[in-house]
Amino acid sequence: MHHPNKDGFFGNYGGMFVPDTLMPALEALLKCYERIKDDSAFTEELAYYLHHFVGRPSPLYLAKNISKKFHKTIYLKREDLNHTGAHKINNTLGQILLAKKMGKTRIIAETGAGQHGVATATVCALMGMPCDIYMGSNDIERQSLNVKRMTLMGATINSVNTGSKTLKDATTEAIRDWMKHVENTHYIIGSALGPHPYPLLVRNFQSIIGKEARKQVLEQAGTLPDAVIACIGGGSNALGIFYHFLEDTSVRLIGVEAAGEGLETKKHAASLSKGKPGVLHGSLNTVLQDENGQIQLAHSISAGLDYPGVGPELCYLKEKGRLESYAITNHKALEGCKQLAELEGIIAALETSHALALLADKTVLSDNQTIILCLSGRGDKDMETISKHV
Amino acid sequence: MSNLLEQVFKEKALIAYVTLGDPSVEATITYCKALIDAGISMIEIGLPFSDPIADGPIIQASHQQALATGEDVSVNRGFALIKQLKEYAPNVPILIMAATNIIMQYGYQSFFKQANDVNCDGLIMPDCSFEMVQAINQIQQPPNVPLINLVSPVCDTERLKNIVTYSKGFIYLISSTGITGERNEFSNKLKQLVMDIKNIKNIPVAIGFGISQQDHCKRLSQFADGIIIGSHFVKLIQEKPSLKEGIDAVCNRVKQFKAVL
Repeated sequence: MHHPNKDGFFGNYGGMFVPDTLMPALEALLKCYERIKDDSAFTEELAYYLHHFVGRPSPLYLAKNISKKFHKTIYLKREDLNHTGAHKINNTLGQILLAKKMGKTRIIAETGAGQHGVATATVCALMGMPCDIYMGSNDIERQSLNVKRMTLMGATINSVNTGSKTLKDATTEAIRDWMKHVENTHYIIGSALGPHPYPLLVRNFQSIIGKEARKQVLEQAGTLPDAVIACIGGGSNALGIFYHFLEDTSVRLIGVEAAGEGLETKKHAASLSKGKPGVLHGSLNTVLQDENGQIQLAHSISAGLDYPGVGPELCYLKEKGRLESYAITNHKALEGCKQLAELEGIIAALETSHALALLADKTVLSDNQTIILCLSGRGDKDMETISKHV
Repeated sequence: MSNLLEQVFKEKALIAYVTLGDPSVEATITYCKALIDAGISMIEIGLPFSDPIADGPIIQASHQQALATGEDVSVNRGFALIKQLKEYAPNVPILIMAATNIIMQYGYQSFFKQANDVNCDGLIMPDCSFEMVQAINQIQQPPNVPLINLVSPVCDTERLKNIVTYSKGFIYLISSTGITGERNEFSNKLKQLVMDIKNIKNIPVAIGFGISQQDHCKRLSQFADGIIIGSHFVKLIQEKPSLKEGIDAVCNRVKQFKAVL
C-alpha cells in the first residue's frame, strides 16, 4: 500500500517529471533494483558493509538526562555514530552497490550540508569509483570541513554558483550532469526526492533505521513508543525511521521542518507546512514557490534543511493525516543543540537539533510519553555556525 | 493538428527559440518581429523558470537574466506577446515552451483554453516525460494547440511507438543525450530514429539541442523536417554589445541556415 504506483506516485505526489533523455535510465534503475533487491548476494553484501564498515546496528540510546528534564522517556536513535557521522551512508552504500550491478563507472551526487557528499565520497573511495560532487558555493563556505573530507577521499567538488548557490541549485546541476553522461554515470540522490524510483530507493535503503529502532525499543522498553520524531529537509532520515512504524497506528509520526527566521517571514524551509503542490527536480511535491510557479529560496541555519521541496511520500503521508509536521526556528534549533550537548554530552547536527527543540513543546508532546528521536547526524560540521551563535 | 504547422512543414522548417524577457519583454517583441522578417518558419517562446533542468548554462543564464529584471514574464505575458506577433504575422506558428511547474501553477485547462484563444500553436514542456503527460489526465489538448512530445536518441522502440502514436503537431527530436547547448557531436542514431518515427506515423520531425553550424543544418535537414536553434541564438544576443547588433547577427544566421535547408 505504501509502494508508489507504476508511474511513481504516492497518492497525488511523486512521478517522473524529467526530460525524455532520463526515462530509460530511470526505468533501468528501477528494473535493476527490483531484480536484485531480494537477491541474497546483494542483500548479504549490503549487510556486510553496513555492519563492518558503517558500524550498524546503531544504538538506541535511552537519554536519561533529557528524559528527566522533559518528563518523558526519550530514546535517541544514534545515526550520528555511523561511519561518516550521519544516516546518509545507509543510502549511498546501497546505491553504489546498485550502480556496480548496472555496470556504471562514475558516480555523481549533490550535497547541501556536505553529509551526503561525504557519504558518497566515502563509498566511492571504498569501491574505487570516480566521484563528482555538486555543492552550492554558499554551502561550500559554511561547511568547509566536509569539503575537506570529500577532497581528501578523492572526490572532485564542483562549486555551483547559480541561483541561491545552495542545495536546490546543486541538485539542478547534478541532474544536468546526469543527462549528459547518463550512459556511464549513476546519480546518487541524497534524499527521498527526485523522480521515481529515487524516493522509493532512498526510503528503502534508509528504512533500516526504523527497522532496527522498532526492534530495539521493543527489547528495551517492552513497548512501542508513543511518538517517533525526526527532522525533515528532503525527508530521508524521517522516512527511514518512520517507515517500519507506518502500520503501528498508535505511534505518532512527527516531522520537524526548518522555520528559519519564522514561518511568518519569507526566510524558512518549511515546504510541508507552507509549500504548494508543484514540480521540482523530477517529482510533484509541496514546493515553496510564488504564484507564477517560480521556485522560492528556502532558508535555514542548517544547510541540510535548506531546500524548497520535500519528498513526495512525506507529502502523501501528511495529506493522509499519518504524518504530523511542525516547524522550528533557527534560534530554537540552536537552543536544542546546546541543551543536548550540555545534558547528554552529544553534539547533534543543526538539522537534527530542529527535532530536539520540539521536545520542549508541551502542546505537541505531553509528559510521561515514550519517544524515539532520530539523531540523524553529529554536529562537528556545524561547529563554526554554532560557536557564532551560542 | 494545427493547419499552420502542417503548412510550415511542407518545406524544411527553421525554428528559433527565444526567452521571454531576455534582455527585456520589449526587446523580445522587436527580436521576434525581426526573426519573422528574416524568414524564420516558427518561433518557440520560452517562459523563464528558476530551475530549468533540461537546459544548459546559456539558456539557464538567459532565464535568470529575464527573471532578474523583475518584469512580468508570466504565462499571461507570453500569451500577450503571441497575440501581438499573430497580428504582425498570422501565418508564423508560435509555440510556448515552459517547465511543467509553470503550466501546472497556471492550470492545464486554463492554459489550453487561453492558448487556443490567442492562436498559440502548441506547448512544449521539456521536463515532462510522455508517461507524465499520460498520468496527468487533465491535459486535454484542443486540436489547434498540440502538446509537442520530445524524443531522445536513448528512447527504446516500445516507448517510441507509444509516444509517436499519441503525438500531434510534430516530434521534437533531441539531437543527443544531455542538455541544451552548443555541441559538435550528434547522435549517430538520428537518421534511423527519424525513419523509425516516420514508419510509425507520418508526422513531421524537428531536431533540436546544440545545433549551431550551417553544416549541422545541412546534414540534419537531409532527413529531418525542421531544425530548432536555441542556445546559439541566445548566445549571439547575449554577446553583442547592443540589442540591434545581436538581432542583426541572429538574422544573418537565419538567412545562412535557411540557405542550406
